[in-house]
Amino acid sequence: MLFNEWSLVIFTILVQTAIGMLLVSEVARMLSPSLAEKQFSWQLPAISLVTGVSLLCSLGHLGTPMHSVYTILNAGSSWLSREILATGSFFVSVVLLTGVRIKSPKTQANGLALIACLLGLVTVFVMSRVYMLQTVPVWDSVSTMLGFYGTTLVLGAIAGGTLYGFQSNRDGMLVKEESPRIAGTFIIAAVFGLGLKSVGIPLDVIAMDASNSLGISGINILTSGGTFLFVGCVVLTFIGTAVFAWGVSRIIASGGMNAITNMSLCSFGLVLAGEVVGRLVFYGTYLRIGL
Amino acid sequence: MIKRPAFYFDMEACTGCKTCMIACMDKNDLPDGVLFRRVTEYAGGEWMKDNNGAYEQNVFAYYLSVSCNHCENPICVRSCPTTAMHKDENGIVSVDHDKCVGCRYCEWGCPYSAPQYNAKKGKMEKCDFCRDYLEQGKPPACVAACPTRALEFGEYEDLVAKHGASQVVAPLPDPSITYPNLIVSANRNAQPAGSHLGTIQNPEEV
Ligand code: SF4
Ligand code: SF4
Repeated sequence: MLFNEWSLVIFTILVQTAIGMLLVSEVARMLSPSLAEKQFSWQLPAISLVTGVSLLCSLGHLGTPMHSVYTILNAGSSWLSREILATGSFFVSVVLLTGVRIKSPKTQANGLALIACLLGLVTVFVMSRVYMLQTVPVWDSVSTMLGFYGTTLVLGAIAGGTLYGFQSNRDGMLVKEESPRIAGTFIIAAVFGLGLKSVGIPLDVIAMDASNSLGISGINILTSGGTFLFVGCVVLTFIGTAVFAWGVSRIIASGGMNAITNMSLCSFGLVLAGEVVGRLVFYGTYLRIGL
Repeated sequence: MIKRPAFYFDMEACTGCKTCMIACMDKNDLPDGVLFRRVTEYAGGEWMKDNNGAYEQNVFAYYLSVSCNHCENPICVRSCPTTAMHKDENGIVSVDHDKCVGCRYCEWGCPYSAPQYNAKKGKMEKCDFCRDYLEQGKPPACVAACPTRALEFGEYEDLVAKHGASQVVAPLPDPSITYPNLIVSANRNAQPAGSHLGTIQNPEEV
């Protein structure tokens, strides 16, 4: 049952990661325009790639992918239609931004970057609304939205921070004045994202208490084998973020990048695993009211 | 044709024989696991010791035969991204296979389990009120097959005038979510909507 929605698990996590990477790396760029051109040139191609792959994965959920062109016909009332429009627009905006900055690396393209960031934020909102269905009480909670924005920031910041670390290391960039500020941006975003997710946990548990007409509740699903997964995903995300925050903060303390990149990669692995398990549990707790 | 087609279900008359369910499968040539009409067995209650040490019980069981209710505010139509799920000028909600992308979003939302996924076709299918039969002046297959006449169909207002307003019993969802064209006459065992005293007993079957 937990693996029924694998394509949606991959799609939602990848899109949210890409959006988070964009948000955090654009803020970091702004704070450090002199480093931006060299140390951030990998971010946008990576964001475009991740978004493109996620869109391809989303097709795996469809019974007749050939008809995907029709999925934007009901944007007037369908949140799913709006999600496809929003994700598609986000993709187009990041590809454009990537193209502009590759063509002329000195360009800031601030206007386009702002549009892409706003589209990213709207996409996460719309994605959450897709699941906030009146007939599915476990999902119809603000914790769905907190969880999605939390994932966006945690995974986006750690993925973006890790990439930044690798690029700086490879290019042998000495830490300049701005590096601590950039590293700090990634840490703050990741910790803030973790905070959003944490606020959602008690709300999740309350929402899971509702039972359907088979007498099954989200709590039942968790206690019959899912508790380990639920706790596991929380622990992995916390440990991963802590490792990231500690590792990256060492950049500031030591003034060097060595050994930090591998640690960031480990923290990314831990948090990604936590998020995947958490998302599987999320889809696994789908319980509809009625017959 | 009827303008606001509705089903009437008489809980007192239904024996749970499932002839309606089978007649529907037969008419629509449905594969295993795809059901346009389902007969749900809902049962529950408990034994309690009274002050004299004797046992009393409030055990109950009853059936509900439900298909798509061609709702007035159908959540399936609102949610469908492709507009494949639509309500036509005759008030019938059906799926346009030329547009359906098989995302199953209508299935996630409908609290009556009406949209059914046909994995072979990669699309959704559901009750279309036997539109072809109606055009020929015949009743829907389920209504025609019911041996106890527990099912009726007709214009919503006519059925309400004849049987009174629908009674909402467990485990039917809050009707204000979709405004279903379903009129139910409850029997004496019926539990109020929202009650958690009972559970569906035949989940494998429906
Ligand atoms: S019963 Fe379900 S599928 Fe039928 S119209 Fe109502 S919401 Fe749509
Ligand atoms: S499965 Fe088909 S009918 Fe149902 S919501 Fe998706 S596109 Fe619409």
